[in-house]
Amino acid sequence: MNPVPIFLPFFMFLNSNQSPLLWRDQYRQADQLLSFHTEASVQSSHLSTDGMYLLLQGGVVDEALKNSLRASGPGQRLGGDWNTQLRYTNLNDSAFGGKGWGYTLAFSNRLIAESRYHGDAFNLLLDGNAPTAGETLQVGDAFAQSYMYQQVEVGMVKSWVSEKASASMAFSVGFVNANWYRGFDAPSGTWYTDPIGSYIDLEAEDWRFETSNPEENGFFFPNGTGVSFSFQYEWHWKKRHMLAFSANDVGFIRWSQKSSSSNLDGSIRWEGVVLPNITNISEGFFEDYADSLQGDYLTENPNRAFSTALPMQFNISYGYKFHSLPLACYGQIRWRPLSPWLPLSTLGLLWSPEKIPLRLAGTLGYGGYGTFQAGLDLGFNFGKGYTLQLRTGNLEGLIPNRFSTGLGAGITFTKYFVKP
Amino acid sequence: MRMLRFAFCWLIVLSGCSPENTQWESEWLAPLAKSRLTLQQLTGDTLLKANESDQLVLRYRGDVLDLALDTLAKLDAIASADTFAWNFGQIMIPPNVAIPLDPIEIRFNIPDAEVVYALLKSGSADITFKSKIPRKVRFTYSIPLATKSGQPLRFEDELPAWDGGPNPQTFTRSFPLGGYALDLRGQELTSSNRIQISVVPTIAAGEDSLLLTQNMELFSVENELKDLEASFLKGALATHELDIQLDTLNLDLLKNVQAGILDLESAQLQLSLINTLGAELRIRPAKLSATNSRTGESLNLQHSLVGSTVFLDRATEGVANAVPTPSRADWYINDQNSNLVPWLELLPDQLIFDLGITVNPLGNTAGLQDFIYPAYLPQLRVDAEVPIKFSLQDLKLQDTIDADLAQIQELNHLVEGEIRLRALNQFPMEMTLHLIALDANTHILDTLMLNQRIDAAALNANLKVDQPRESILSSVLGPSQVQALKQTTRFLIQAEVSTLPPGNRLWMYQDYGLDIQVIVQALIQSQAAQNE
Repeated sequence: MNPVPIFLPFFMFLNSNQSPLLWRDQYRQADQLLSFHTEASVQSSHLSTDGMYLLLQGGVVDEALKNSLRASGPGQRLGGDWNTQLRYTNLNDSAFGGKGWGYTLAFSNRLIAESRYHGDAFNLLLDGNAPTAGETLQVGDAFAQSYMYQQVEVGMVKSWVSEKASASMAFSVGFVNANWYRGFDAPSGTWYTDPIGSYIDLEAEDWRFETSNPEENGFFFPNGTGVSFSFQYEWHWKKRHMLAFSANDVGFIRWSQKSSSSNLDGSIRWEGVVLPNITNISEGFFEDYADSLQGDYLTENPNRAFSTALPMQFNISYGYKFHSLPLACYGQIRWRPLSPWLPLSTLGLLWSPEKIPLRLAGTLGYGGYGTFQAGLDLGFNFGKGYTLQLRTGNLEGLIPNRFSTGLGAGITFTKYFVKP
Repeated sequence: MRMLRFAFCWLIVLSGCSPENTQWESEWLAPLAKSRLTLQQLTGDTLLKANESDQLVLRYRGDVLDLALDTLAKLDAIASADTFAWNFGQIMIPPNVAIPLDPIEIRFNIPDAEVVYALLKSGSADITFKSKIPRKVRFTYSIPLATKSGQPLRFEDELPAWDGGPNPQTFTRSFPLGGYALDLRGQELTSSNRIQISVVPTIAAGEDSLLLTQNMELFSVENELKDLEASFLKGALATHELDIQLDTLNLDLLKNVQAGILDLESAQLQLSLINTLGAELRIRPAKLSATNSRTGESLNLQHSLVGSTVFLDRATEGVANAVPTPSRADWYINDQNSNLVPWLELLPDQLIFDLGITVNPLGNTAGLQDFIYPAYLPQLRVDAEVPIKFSLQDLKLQDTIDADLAQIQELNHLVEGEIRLRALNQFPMEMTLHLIALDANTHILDTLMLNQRIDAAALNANLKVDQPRESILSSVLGPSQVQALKQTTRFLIQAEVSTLPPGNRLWMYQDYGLDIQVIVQALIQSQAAQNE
């Protein structure tokens, strides 16, 4: 009998939020699998799902909704990603000697948009500056970026099995083709509007804007290249305990020379367009004035390449399977450094009956781009080695409401090949 | 159905597209523009000067009449085409012997003057020779009375022998005439407006002798003297009335003043007639009239000059054609010897000069010694000095500003708002403003500002303003005003200005100004475009 590839669930979804234990027992006999997975999520520290639906669908934000959307304090987050992946894995290939070695190939597309900001900055956009005239608003400690890339990964897998314990390891390297990038970083800044509106002060300290080639940025267009590295290790003992660690997408993208950046630094007081002679305004005056303003405050660096980090993520998980019950529980902490992402802590409970081709997992978590979140994973297996999995990490946001701050959904279709 | 809707929403979420933009209302407060309005800007920077006490004085110095004498400087030479034929009996002309021919003459079309001498500043001559002489010929072209540095204008060139075909042998030469002095007295030196030209053909060395027969056509010469402009002319100017081209002076500065009372402290005006002509002038200032076209009022300047006849002697010719020494007559007009102050207080937007000037009223008494320097023509010079010390009472100003707001798409997002005008007034004048939106047919759409007042700055004991005074004018833009703004193509601005305290004539100082800032508070429909 073929040993159980117990690392399977993790390895399948290196970039997924999926419950790590969901399918662990399902296909102990499998040694190859082909899967297609897509998942999208939008989360925020304060933006309710009502607001998110409006942002995504369009519509009019009424006053009541506005009241629920306002943010306060630093470190507010709004972000989302959309990951799509096609993966083939051979878990125990004879070409490697049949000693638990295998390989994996994957093609992925990733779209990420994320931001961190002070509540004052969000409220400024939402309400305008008139309601807070006379107050100093914090518009610094802000960061935002959005980018898209495709990734081709090649990796090796290895598993060890003994009577008392088993372990598995996987690593992969990837080539990244990046299409577009827009970034903004404002370490520090304040905004002040005079109570009668006679001036606006903006204190901007080393604000930076970066963009990749704006002329051509379609899907697959090579505006940047990069490499990635992923690793995971998973250990099971006494048939009840599981401990896993993974590091995914450690790498970078180097954007091409057609990229550009600009800097804003200094104190800007806006008192209106200065008309030298109100009785004689020359044609084209306002266009010239706008150009001169831009030149006064903005330092532009065209045709300058720059690098950005991939959305690297570190995970650590522990799972426990209950004796004589089709239940398992687990805890997980995920961390994305270099991203406006709060470490995401998740607790999950898995129901995995032996005789029914159905698996169900519920999760509770806090962190990521959002706050509290409740998830649900649901899977069916059918036919000869087919599974369909549906999941959401934000069950609370499926129906738009004023208290939840996350939307997310994913689907995975997998074909398992079992050795005869 | 509800679940279907959510399923649809999720499809939208996953596909990243959406049917419409997200809209919300936000209220923004920002200064739009600011400027400083000074009297110097209103009158033109060069007109107002500060005296030693920083008080403003309007000083105008200008030549107000353009006497149309400069056309004389452009010598209009009549182009000529002369054909030379042999008008005598048969004769054999050997090589190196000139064919004797009569000189030719170029005439000038110069009305109102008999010019005997001209010094050219610029111009050129285009000379075309067409030879039908069946020998190689050397032509010598000269204008003996056109000299430069004592040398007459002369050149030589050769044409090959004519082959008897339909086309004569031809060449064209051009040369500049700037710096040449022309004696325009003609061949006999007794005439005017003409100059003699000599063309001498010679059979070239080595050619066969040429037999000239009666009426044998030899060659033709086309003379074109172009773009001649003289720096000095001498001769006899005919007695004639000068065409005074600017007899009505429109004062744009005051065209926006609709009504009101201006009370000036004083004013003085110096008129100078400067005669640079080598001919006498007779001047008849019949009328100096100021007209306020808005009120229809006119007032003639009353001064001893008006209605009199003034005879002005001729200028003295400069040495070696240099700058002439003019003769001049000056008249001083002030509030003591004229009604100049009420004449100005009329706030005229039109000044009408009825001025007659006769050149050489006594005829040609100088014997061809009249002269003109086109660069130094007679001028009527005005030196005006008006201390900017006055009082104003309900001076009504009105102007329109083109502003096609329908072209501004962003205005469609404006829900309602408020326009504020923040004024820091350093003038001791209060100003009441009205701002009216007009459509393309100049129909009133809405009154945005009515009877809003910019307060006058306070005076110190020396009747001078130390500190500006702040006023904030406001216009609330409700739905109807916003709708009006979207159709506005121009604004009508009306202002009523009065100095305070009333009746006191006050000096205006150099540092006075009105700082204006336009501030807008607007509730706008913000919009986040999808898929960006």
